Amino acid sequence: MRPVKFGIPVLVGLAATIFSGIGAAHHSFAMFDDSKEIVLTGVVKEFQWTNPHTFVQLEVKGPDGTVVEWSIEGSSPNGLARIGWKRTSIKAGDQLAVTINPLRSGEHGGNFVQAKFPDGRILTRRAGEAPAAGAPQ
Amino acid sequence: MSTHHSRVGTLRSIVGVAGCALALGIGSLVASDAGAAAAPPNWTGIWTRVGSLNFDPTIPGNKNEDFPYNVKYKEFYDRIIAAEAKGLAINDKSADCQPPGIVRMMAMVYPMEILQTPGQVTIIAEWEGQIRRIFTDGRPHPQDPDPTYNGHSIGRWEGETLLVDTVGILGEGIINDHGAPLGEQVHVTEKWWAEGADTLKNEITVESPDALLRPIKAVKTFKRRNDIQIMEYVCTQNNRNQTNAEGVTGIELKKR
Repeated sequence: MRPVKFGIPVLVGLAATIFSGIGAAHHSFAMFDDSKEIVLTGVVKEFQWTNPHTFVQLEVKGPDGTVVEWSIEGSSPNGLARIGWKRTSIKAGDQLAVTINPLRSGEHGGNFVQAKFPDGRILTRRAGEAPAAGAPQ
Repeated sequence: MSTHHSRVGTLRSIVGVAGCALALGIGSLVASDAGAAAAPPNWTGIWTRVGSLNFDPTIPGNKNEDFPYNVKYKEFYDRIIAAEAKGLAINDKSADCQPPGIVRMMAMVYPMEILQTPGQVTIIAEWEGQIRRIFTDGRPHPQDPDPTYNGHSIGRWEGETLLVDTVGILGEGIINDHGAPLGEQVHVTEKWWAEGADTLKNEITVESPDALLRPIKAVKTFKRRNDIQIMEYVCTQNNRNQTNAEGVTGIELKKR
């Protein structure tokens, strides 16, 4: 029943260690495992451009055809607008490969690291950040 | 540092008094006292923090800070750290959109706007839309003030340094975004000064005798950013991170 594999677990090491905590805003990010990154490929159901956090609701189809909705938490519009995001940066229906730090609980949620569009455009969570290791190139 | 500042302050006083006398005539110089003639520096504008969200911003955000807690609070803090290591944030009321309180607020998650008006310095923190009013008109603290999240602040200029004293701070606050407890009898003093035109420093000292064996102190640095604007931030707009019955910060997942 559980999806076999939605992404490639990647060891990220030092970069994540140095920067972890910077994205923390209105609550602790302890629930997310920032030592792990997985990549989810799916279709955006909804993009919530709201405080205290943005959310990408991503529908991901597993190998058996089952579709699971993931809740991917991002920084606030305040943080993201200052690095160039807009409320229209992600739209319902967009095809995305989203890199996340998954929930430690194993539930279908995570912390947004970056999103890649089919045309190669990449949205990152911090200004000037290099694309995540392990992301589809 | 303070010697340097007081020298600069004295120099400014002399220049200020001389300028005042030239502009307004000798009558106004006689009428005003020398202290009032030294105009305070103008910090009105938008400022962003440098460093992490810890109490001491030079300590990386993913590190837990050491505080000189007494036995009771050390036990509580150890539990908080142990839970955090397992992915459970247990002492973080801001997850429920409660205001962060003065100490955590001053880490300045998002930019702050400083407004200087006669008799008052106002700090508007974008994060949680929090406001501090620092009265510089010479009024004292109220007798036995009702505790509030940001307390009651009075300040005075000493040359180009602003000294601020804050009392009446609500208990059960936290020191940093790891949930380090603040205690119940909190007194905060701050020394603010500028280094050049675009850097502001705040040396903040926290006394909390029922929790801390001795005061803690840190210097926070802010950079002027008048190219950006303060944005609205309403935490209750779409908060999907409420704490559960055990006080653990969660995430509201949506299912098809």
